[in-house]
Amino acid sequence: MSRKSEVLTKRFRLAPISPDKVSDNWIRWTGDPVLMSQLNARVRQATRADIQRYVAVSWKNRRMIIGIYARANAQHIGLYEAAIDPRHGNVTLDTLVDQQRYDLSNVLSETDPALLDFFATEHRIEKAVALVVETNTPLIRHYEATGWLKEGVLRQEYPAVAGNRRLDVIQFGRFLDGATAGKPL
Amino acid sequence: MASLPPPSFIIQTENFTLRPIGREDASLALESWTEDETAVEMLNTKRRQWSIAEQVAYFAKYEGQRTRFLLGLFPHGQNEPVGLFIIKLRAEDDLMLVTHLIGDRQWRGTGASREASIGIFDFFFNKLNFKKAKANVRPSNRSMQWLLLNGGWRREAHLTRHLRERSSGDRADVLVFGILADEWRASRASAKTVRRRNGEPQRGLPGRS
Repeated sequence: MSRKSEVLTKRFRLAPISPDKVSDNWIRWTGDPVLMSQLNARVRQATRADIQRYVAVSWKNRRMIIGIYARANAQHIGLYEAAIDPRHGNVTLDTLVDQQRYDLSNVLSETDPALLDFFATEHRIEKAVALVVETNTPLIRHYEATGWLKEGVLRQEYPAVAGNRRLDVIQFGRFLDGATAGKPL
Repeated sequence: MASLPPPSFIIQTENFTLRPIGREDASLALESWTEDETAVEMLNTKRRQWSIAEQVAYFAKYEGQRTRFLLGLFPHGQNEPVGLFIIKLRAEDDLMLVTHLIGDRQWRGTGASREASIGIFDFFFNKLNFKKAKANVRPSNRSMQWLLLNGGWRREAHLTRHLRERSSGDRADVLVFGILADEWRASRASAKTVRRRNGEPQRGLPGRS
């Protein structure tokens, strides 16, 4: 996704986030203990400058940051981070949805197909990959319910941010040859 | 958290030295490595002769890297490597990805991989405090799967149509194996480190004195 393009669905708009577009909502999410716990991230009230630096470095490292916005009120409600592997035609997705206000699966059931269709047509991506840490139960349930292929469990893949234990990661995959914006996953 | 290795290091085992390969290690002895199906799959390349110039270019890609290492497996007293290990480190996750090839066919099935891997994991697990190693293996590479499973590794994922073949553009599956440092320590303590034939420890190597 170039920094200027966007993808529209019935209720949502997907658009790249540049450093100057970091929202107040994103700053608030970094202090949300439930959300951060699901993502295995430290709860820290990041500043706008912190997140702007993160966004700038991500784009520099060819990691796209794509915002999910409600079309009705322009609220920023979540984001995708997408790393493209052009050699193998794969894209690896990380996903965050503000679950204090929105149902994750309700949002992603509409935005995932549109985003995957975009990657298939604009970047010739053939497979999407999601690595979901075991604590992110809503996202695991979403992928299981929407037909992603559960390809394995990577044991003790990441150190937990709290305590000394390590966390499993569930690896999901989805082929994009059938992805279209209008077709539910 | 795991530590990164120093820019230059050497791992010694009973029969081998493992050290980063440099462009000066390119040699005619390695030219046949990429004529072999196993190596072609591992390096995701085309079957061809591996010219000195291509070797130099390939080895140079690893120079100065702090998280990616290309280690040559050198039998003591020999200047040409008989195999290699590619080590990619994710120190923030205490995790390493290992790719291994015995390029010299005469050294396959001799226990060289097992002995070298003991040296590698002693270094990365015990000295540098890495907690997990992973390996990606093609389903057709049954000898490597056998080696891993017998070394205490576990198959963790089957990634369907995950890789795009450089030669044909077709997509291929890959299996992900993993071993935790504690599992490896238990496996190391119980495993034979010298391969036995006819009940006797194997001292020499086939075709070599």
